[in-house]
Amino acid sequence: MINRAELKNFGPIKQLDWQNLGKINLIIGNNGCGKSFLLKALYSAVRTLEDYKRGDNPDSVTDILKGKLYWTFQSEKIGDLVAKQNDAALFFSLMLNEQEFSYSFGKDTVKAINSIENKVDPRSSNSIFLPAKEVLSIHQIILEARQSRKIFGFDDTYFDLAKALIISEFDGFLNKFEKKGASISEHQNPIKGYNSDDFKKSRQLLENLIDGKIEYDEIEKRWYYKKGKQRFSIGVTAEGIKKIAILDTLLGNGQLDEDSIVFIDEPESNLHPEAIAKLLDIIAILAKHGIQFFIASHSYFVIKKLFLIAQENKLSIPVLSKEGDAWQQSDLLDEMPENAIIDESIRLYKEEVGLGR
Amino acid sequence: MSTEPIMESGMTFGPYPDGHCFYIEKCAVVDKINKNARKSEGVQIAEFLLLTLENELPIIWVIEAKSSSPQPNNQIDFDGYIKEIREKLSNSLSLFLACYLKRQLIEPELSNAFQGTNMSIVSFNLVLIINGHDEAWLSPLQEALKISLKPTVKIWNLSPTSVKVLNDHGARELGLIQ
Repeated sequence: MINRAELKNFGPIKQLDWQNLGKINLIIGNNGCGKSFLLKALYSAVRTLEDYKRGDNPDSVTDILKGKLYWTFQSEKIGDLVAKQNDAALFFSLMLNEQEFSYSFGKDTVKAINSIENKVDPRSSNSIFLPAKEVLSIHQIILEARQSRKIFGFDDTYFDLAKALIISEFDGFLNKFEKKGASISEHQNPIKGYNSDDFKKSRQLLENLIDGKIEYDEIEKRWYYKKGKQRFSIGVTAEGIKKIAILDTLLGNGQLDEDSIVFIDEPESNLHPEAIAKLLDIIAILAKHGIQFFIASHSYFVIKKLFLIAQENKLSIPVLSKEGDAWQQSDLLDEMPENAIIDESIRLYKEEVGLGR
Repeated sequence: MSTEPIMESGMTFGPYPDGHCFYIEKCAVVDKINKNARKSEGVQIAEFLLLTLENELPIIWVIEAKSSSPQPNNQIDFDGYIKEIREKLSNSLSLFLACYLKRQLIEPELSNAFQGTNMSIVSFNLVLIINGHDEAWLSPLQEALKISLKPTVKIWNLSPTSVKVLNDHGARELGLIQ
């Protein structure tokens, strides 16, 4: 898991040293404060480390990182990621399982990242980014735009997710089998992670939440929502269902395991408050069994529910909030941090009680 | 101490087990403190403190009851309302602990149950109960009161969930009123 992240002059993030990270981590702040940017910065670094030395991949960590930054942020030159305000270089550092990965580059950098240090062991797990917008109905468009036409539009958070979703449950099982080399019975009844009772329970809860599941038709290359024996086109399926179904699919096809890191941008988008609460309960179960989550949100319900999860489970949930120019660090286990989302709920109450005076 | 039900803001609190309710608003110490004070200068105090056990762990509830709250059809100032409740709850906690520590010269009327409770481990809940308040709007009031009481919660290392705002239904569910 990521233990610490430090960023300097990285896009809108002037300076941040986020320490003592937990299994669930929350980022809150106004639009444009850099929440999604931070998630993407963390994601591109973790995915770089996951691609490095995987299988027969001959690419250097520098080349993988350059490509990941280019396709995740989609700026013409990666030097554009350096904060505009001053001439200092961009710096990024990550502690992953207490091993450091860091890099730095300046404004004029087009391709080469000269300053890079990697002490992280190669990773076999996959991490994933769940963007605020749903991907299932545009799944084929994303794959074509990126695989065939190689054009900007859908960044790597979308492309990686689209690729991860079409791996079948059978292929996922085989991949895990080859990777770990254990016996078939150990694979069928693992204690932790993929196909374990906890993951199966989480999948069942997710499927209960949406009253069905999604499936990919490889011949038609289209997604369908399946409820009982009925099958519905993904185009007429509710956005919230698609969002939850994606997590279910990734747990089922082995793309997520107990060492994965999941980045979720605005989990509240398209979800009813009741579904948000249930989804976060499932996230808490998955976090208890290894998966690390980074969640960016504006939602009152997300903050309140995570606060309650922290209290009920005595679980540290670090919170990063942007107040003015500075990032504040707190922990939902200790307190509900003062923040604009709660303030707005009070302001609305005051506005309502002020009516008719 | 009170073993009789307490009637406040149109709600009936108790009766509670003998020695488990400290009727702080009516105790002699408060009379002494506020004896010569003008109305606006007196120490504002909540209604009473209740000692309960949950899973064998002691909890002291500091209770303030209200029959009104800021509403579209009244003139109650929101910030003033929150400030008043904060003072009452915070003052009551401090005064109770002052009594427990025998800082007050008047016999503080604390029962053996309160005196025998270990203050270093007891949980405190600071509770506002508003009779008839719309449940949908309890949450923002709780958030505002929580922010206002943050110094008290921090100073006494109370639980982050110790500040509660309930209506009569919630209070009944928790067994606080009849």
